[in-house]
Amino acid sequence: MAEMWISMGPQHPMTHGLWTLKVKIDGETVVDTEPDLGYIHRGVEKICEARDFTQITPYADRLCYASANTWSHAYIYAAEDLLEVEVPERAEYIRMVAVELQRIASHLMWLGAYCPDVGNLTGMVWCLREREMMMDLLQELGGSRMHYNFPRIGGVKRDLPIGFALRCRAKLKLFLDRIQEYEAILDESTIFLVRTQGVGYAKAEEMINHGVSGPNVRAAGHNYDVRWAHPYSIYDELDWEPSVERPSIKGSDCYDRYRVRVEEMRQSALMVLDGLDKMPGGADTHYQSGDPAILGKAPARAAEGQTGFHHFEDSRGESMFYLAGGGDERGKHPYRVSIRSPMFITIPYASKCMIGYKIADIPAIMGSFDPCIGETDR
Amino acid sequence: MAYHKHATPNFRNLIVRPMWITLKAALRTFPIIGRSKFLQSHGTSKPYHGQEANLLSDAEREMYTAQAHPVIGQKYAPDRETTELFPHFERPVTVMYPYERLEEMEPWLFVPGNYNGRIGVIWETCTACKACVRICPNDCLHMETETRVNVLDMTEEGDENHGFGVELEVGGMAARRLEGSEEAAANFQLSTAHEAPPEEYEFGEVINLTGDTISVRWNASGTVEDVAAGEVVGAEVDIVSGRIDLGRCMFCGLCMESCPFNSFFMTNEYDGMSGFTREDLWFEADRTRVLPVQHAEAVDIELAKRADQARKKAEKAAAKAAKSEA
Amino acid sequence: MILLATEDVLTIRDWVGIATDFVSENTIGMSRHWEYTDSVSNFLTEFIMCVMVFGGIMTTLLILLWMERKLLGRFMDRRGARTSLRSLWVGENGVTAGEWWNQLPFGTGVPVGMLNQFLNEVAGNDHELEAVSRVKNRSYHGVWWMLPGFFQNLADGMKFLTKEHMVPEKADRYVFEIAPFLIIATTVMCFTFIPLSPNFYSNNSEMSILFLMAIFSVAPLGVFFAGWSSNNKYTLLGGIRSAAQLTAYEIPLLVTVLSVVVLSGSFNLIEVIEFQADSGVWNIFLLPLGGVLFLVAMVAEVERIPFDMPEAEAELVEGWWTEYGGMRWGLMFASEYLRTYAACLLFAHFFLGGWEAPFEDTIPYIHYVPHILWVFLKAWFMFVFFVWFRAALHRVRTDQILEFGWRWLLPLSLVNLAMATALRLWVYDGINGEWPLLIPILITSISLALFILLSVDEDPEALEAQTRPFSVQTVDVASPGQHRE
Repeated sequence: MAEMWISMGPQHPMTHGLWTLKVKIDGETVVDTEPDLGYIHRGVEKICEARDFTQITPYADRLCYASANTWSHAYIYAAEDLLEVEVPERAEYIRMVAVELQRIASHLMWLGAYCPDVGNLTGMVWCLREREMMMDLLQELGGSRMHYNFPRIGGVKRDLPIGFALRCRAKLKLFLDRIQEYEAILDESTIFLVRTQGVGYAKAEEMINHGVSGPNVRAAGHNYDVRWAHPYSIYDELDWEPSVERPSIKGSDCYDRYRVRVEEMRQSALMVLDGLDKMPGGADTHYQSGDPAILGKAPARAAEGQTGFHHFEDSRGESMFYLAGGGDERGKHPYRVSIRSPMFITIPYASKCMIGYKIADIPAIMGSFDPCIGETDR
Repeated sequence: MAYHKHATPNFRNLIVRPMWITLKAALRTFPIIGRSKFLQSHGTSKPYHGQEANLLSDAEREMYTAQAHPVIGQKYAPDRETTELFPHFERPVTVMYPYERLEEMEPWLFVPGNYNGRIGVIWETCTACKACVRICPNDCLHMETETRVNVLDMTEEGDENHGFGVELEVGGMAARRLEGSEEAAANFQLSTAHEAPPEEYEFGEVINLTGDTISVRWNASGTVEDVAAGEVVGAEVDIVSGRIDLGRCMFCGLCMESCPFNSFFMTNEYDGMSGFTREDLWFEADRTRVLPVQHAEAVDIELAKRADQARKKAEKAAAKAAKSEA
Repeated sequence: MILLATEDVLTIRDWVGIATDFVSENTIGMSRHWEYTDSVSNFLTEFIMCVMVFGGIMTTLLILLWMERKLLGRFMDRRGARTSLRSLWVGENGVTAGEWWNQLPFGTGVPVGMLNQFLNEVAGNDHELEAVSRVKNRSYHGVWWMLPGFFQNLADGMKFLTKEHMVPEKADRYVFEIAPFLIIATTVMCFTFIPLSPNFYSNNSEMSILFLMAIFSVAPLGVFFAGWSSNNKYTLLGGIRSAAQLTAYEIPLLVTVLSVVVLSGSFNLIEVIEFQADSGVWNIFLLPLGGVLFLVAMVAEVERIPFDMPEAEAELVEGWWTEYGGMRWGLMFASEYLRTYAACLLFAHFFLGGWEAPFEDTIPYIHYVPHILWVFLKAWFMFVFFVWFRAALHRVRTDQILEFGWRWLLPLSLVNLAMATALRLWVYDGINGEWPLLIPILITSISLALFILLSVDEDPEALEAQTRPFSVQTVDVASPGQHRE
C-alpha cells in the first residue's frame, strides 16, 4: 500500500482537544507527522488587554479548562509581581491546597482519558469517579466544579469552608488507597505494559533543547520541577519530593510518563495533607471573605514600565505569565499579557516522537504527553 | 525501567490481576456483600508511605461532630458509599438525577454564598450604583436607571407627608421644577398625544450645601448655579429595569463581591435556567430571586447599616447645630 | 434417527410436526394436490422451526445486551440509567410522547393505559418535579426490580429504523450495499445449525459443525468489503486490520473445533453433545486448554476488547462500519452481538455439555427442567466472561494481536489437537462409552496446577531489586543553566 496522509482531527475522540494531526502512514507504520494547532484560539491575550487585573482571573481559569486553578494562580503570582503585593501566609497555604487538588484532578482527567486510548474503559470511569471526589472538594473551596476564579490579587476569595479539612483528609486518604487499585488494573496488566513500554521514546537532552518541561521531562530523568528548583509560595516548607523517573538509555517511554504522573498524584495528596496540618491559624478556623488574614491590600493600577513575571509549575509543565502595566483606563488594564504555555512547546516535539511506531501507538504516545489544547491555542 | 513492584508483563498480569480487581469493584457495588471488609480499598492493602489507612480517628470524629454547624453533624462517607439511612445498601456512586438531588445528599457542596450558582439580586436594597455592571468581565448586566423626584416631595407644604422625601445631600441629586411645566402637564392629553409627556423637573448634582444657597451643577447645561433652598427638592436615582444575560455570564462571582450594599448574591441553584432562545436567558428582575433566608438576612443587614449611617449623620448634624448655636 | 440419551420435556419439533401434519392433511390432503401433503407439511415444519429458533435467539439477544450493560455498569462502579421502561410513556422537552397507547388503532391501547394507571397507583412515586410528573404520569423509579433497562435495546433498535441510509459520494455503491448483507445474512444463518435442544433445532445435517464454521467465516469477507468500499481511509485501515485479525484467528479456532470433533467422533453438533452426555464428562474437563483457546479465539473473532482494534474508537472512530447509518448499521451492530451469542452457545455445546444438566444422575427430577433453559443459562454464563474481559483488559495493538494469534494460539491449538487425538485413541473406551473418572480429574488438576504455577511465577528478589522510592535518590536543587554542563 502506498504512503498516505490521514488527518486526525480537529474533532477526534483521541486527540485530547481540538487540533489536527496529519499523519503519513506506510501501511500501519507512521512515517511523518504534521500537527496543526490554533483551532480553538480565542484571543485570550488580547481580551485581557481590555480587562482589569481582577477581571483577568476568570479568563486565566479558562486557558486550560482541565486544570483551571493552576492557570489562575500562575496569573495571580505574575499580577502580584507586577503590583508588588504582600500575600499573607495563610492565603499561600490555601492557594497551595487549591493548586495541588487541581493538579490531582488534572492528572486524573489525563489518566481517565489515557485509559480508553489504550483500550480500557473501566479505568476511565474509575479515574473520573476519583476526579469527582476532587471536584467536590474544589466545589466547596471555589464554588463551582471547573472554573473557580479562586485567587485574588493579595490572597484568596474566601477561606476554607467549615468542615473542609475533615472532608479533604477523608477523601485524600481514600484516594491514596484507590491509587493502588488503578495500579492494579494498569501497572499490573500485561496488555497495558506491552502497549506502553518501549513505545514513544523521548530523550532528555532533546526535550530540554526543545523546551519541554514538567512531567514529560521528569520522566526522562531530568529533575526539573519549578516548585523544587525555584520555590515560590510555601513549597519549600512542605514535606514532598518531585517525582523523577530513571529511564533507559533509549529515553523515556510512555510508561515512564505514566508513572511520573501517578507518583505526582500521590505527592500532591501528601502535600495537601501536610499543608492542612501546617496551616497558620489551623485548618478548622474560618475567616470571613476579605479578612486581612487571607487577603492583603492590592493596588488596582500599574504604571507604564512596570512589569510582572512568574513561572509556575502547571500540571503539564512550566507555564509563564508576563504582564506589562500601563494599559488603558489609566493603568487599570495591562498593556500586554503574554502567556507561555508548556503544551504549545511540547506538542510539536511529541508529534515527532511518533515517527517509526504504528498507528495504534499514536493515541498511546500522544496521550502520554498529556496535551491540553485550551492552553496551547489560548 | 518498571518501578511498580509487580509491573512485569507476565502471565499473572495478563488476566488474573486485572480481572480480579474489576471483580472486586463489581462486588463492591452490591448492597450487603459490598460492605464486607475484604473488598474495601483499604481492607487488606498495606498503608502507603507510612500513612495511616484509616479514614478518621476517634478524636477527629469527636471533634467535628461536636460543632454546631449543621454541615458537621452528618455522618460523612467520602465516596458516597453509604448514607445514614441505608448504611449497607447504598452503592454505587451514581446520583440518580432528577429523582435524587445532590444538594439534598451533600448540602455542604451547595452552601449559598459559597456556590457560584444563579445570580440573585435583592432589588429593595439596590441603589443602582452600577458597581456590578462595571466589574462584570463579559458585560452581562444591564441596568437602566432614571433620576426621579420622590413622590413625597411633590406634596405641598402643610401636607402631612411633606418633608419626608429625599433629603438633599452633597453628591446627591437635586431637582427644580421647570417653568411652565405645571400648565404643560395639565394640558397634556396622554390618549391623543404624539410625543412624550413634557419634562417637569430639571436635575443636577448638589455641590455645596452650606450657607443659605445650594450650589447645583445642572446635568443639562453643566453650569453651576446657586439656588435658594426652597427652590429645589431632592431627587434620587432609581432603577427602571435590571437584566442579567445569563447566556454571557461565566459565573465568576465578581459581581457578588463588588456590591457594597449586600444586594447581589449567587444562589445555590444550578438548574432551571435553560431556555430555547437566547432571549430566554435574559433574566429580568422577577427571575432573580434569592433564597428567603438569605434575602431576609441581607435586607436586615443592609437596612441596619443604612439606619446606622442615617443616625450618625443626624447626630453629626445635631452636634454641628448645637456647636453653631453655642 | 438420532439416539437420545435423555428425553426432553419440550419436544417442540414433534409438536410442530403434528400441527403441520394436521393442517396439511386437512387442507392440501383434501384437495386435488393431495400428493403434496407430506412435502408441504415438512416445509411448514422447517419454516416454523426457523422462525421459532431465530425469534428465540433475537429475543434472548435482548437479555444478552441487557446483561452486558448492567455488568459493565457494576464493573465500572456506576449504576446505569434505570428509567428506560419509564421513557416509553413520558416524553421530554415539553413534548409529551406520553399516552402513546391512545394512538393505537381499534382501542387496543386502552388496556395498556389501564395497566399504566394501576402501576402508577401501586408503585409510583409522587414527585413534585415537573419533569417527572407530567401528564399525570409518575415515575417508576422506586420499582427498580421491574426489569430495569430491559427495553433499552428495543428502543435502540427502533431508533435505528428512523435514521437515514447514506452512501458516501465516491463509494463503490454495489459493494457498499452488498457488504452488510454478507455480514448479517451469514451471521443469521449460523443459528440454523445451532440446536437449542435435541428436539428444537432448525437444521440437523450430518456435518453441521463444518457448515457452521464455514458460514461463520464468511463474515470477515463482508467486513473487508465494507471497509474498502466506503471511500474512507479510516474504514480502509479498519477493514484491513479486521481481515488480518480474523484470518489469523480462524485457524486456531478451526483447529480447536477440530479437536473437539476428534474427541467426540462426529461432525454433528447434536452428536457432540450426546457424546458428552453418554460419556458422563463434559469436554471442558478433558480439554481445558481447548476451552481456553476456543474462548480466546472467539473473542478475537467477534472483535471484542481486548481484540477490538478494527473498531477502536481511539484511532479509527468506529472503524470499518463508520459510513453506515440506519438499520444497516443497527443490524451489523446486532450481528456483532449475534456472533458473540453464537460463540457463547457454541462454547456451551462444545465444552459445557450443551443441554445436559450438571450432575444429572444424582439430582432427582432435574430432567424436568427444559433443555433450552440449560443451554441459555450456560451461554449467558459464558457471556459474563466476555463482558468481564471487556471491562478488565486493554486493547491489544494489531501487530501484537497477529503475533499472539500466529505464534501462541496456533501451536497451542495443535498441542490441543494432539491431546484430543491421544485421548480418543488411547484412553477412550469405545465399548463402554465412558471416560474413566480418573482421567478428567487428572487433566483438570494438572491444568489448574499449571495455571496457578504460571500465575504466581514472580521472582521476589528481582522485584525487590527493581523497587525503589519513586524519586531519584539524590535530589539536588536545579539552578539555571545547570543542565548545560
